[in-house]
Amino acid sequence: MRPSTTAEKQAKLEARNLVKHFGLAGSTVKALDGFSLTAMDNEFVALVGPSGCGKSTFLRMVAGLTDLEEGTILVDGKPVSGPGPDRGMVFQSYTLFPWLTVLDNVIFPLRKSELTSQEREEVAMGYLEAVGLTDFAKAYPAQLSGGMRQRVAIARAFAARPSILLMDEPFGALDAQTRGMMQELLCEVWEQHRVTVVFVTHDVEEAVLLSDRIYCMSARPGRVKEEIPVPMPRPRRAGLETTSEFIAIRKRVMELLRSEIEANGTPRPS
Amino acid sequence: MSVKRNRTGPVADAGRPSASVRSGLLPLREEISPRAYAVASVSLVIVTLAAWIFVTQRGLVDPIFLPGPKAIWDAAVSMIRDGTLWTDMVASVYRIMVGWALSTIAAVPLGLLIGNFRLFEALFDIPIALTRYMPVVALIPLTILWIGVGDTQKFMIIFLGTFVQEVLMIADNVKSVPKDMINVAYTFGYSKWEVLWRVILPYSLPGILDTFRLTIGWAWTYLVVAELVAANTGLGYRIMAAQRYLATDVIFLGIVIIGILGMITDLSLKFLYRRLFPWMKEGD
Repeated sequence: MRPSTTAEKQAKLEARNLVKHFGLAGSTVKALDGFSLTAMDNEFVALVGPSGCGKSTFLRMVAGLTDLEEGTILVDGKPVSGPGPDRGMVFQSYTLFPWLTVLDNVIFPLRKSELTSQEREEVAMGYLEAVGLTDFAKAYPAQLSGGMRQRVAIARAFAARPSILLMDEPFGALDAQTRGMMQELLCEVWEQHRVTVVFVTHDVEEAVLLSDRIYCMSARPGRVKEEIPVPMPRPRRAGLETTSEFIAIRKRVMELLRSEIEANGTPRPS
Repeated sequence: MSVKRNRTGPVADAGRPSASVRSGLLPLREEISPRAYAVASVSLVIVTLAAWIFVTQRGLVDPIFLPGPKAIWDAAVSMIRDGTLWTDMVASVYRIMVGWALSTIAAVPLGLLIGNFRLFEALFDIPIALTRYMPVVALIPLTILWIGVGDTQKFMIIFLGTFVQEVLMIADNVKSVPKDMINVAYTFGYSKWEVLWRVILPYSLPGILDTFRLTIGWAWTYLVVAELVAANTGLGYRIMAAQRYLATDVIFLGIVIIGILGMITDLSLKFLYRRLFPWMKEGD
């Protein structure tokens, strides 16, 4: 069992007092207001909140794809400036390169490494095996189902060996069954290849199932409302959803979210 | 092992509808039998040809307005014999190739710049808006005044007719790359030039090839117009000259040859597309 938050452990990611506005239909909207979050080394952190609360905006800021306005984001104690290979990202939309085979997609981030082409292929095949897609190495993305495409995207993100993996509702576009399998798969892959993960979702069950700690966000402007540890042992396997511990945590997170949504009316769907 | 872990099942079936929805010759947005497709694809051509033969054989129309297949065939044979058909085809194809190539050589880099960089989009915004609806045909007299009636004037008309639209279409091809696909390459540590070369360019190539296919088609139109107005060789010239002598069979021959050459270009580019971009094909 892993301690989820301990003082002696190194903070991998530290976001402090972030403020962010963005333009929406001609007016300016405050997306984040005094948002702070910490993720420890090799910790799996989930970020849940009502639609439009700025979860994705925060991820994009960590990835360096959106500029900071106020506040700081530190990765390994150094401020973030622009995107870099130390912060990988898995998007909800399909981002596989359609002209590359599944294998070449996973090799893509490795082309920046010192490895020989044979080593790259071996590494990529290893990650494809972890997501169960070695048989499809030579297929093109257009020939795969949505779930399979996201498995390749996850393999590709892990292959890049980022020190933080940012996941922006990666299973949001998948059907419930595929989603369940993907959660299990991600759990397994992550337990094999530990990395700090920040996982954005609006699926509470998914957050409890996967993470060591859940940050619950307020409605817009988003800030962290509460931090809920998920001290369940790993490896986590099917059946976890029925334990009383799981149910209690899920209930707590759901209540927080519901009070947030009710207090602010129905938010605009994002 | 991969077989055990292959949990989301085999390649997705796009959800074939029931046989009742697919049956008949008019299933909504669904495949029909290959035989029905083959028959349908030639039937309009056969019906048109049959009607043409019928009308001309029976003498229902004056051959001066509509010559029969025999007359056109004879015209073709005599023009092949005296070499004019070949000379005209070579002249026209040469003008198309050079005119279109000049347009493309200029349009590709400019389209890439406009599609990728806002600064270039802004720079060319007003000039393009002013010129894109300019009637090129109206410029023919001016181009003749400037550079005469030689091949250069034909290149210029083709260039003027295709260039601006080609630039805009290539800019659109480039802009079709999803933003997150670019972002994901950034998160792998690729620089913006690497993203341009390794992501934006390969993604937009199929669209650019399609743009080429369309613009070559326009090049044919502009060439023939230019040749109709002023030329002493070429298929457009031949059609114009034939009109003076009421040689309707030669007019028809010219039109048919242009149609066939256009079709050959189109089919070869479609073939090239399938060979170059096998990854565009969905499913199995």
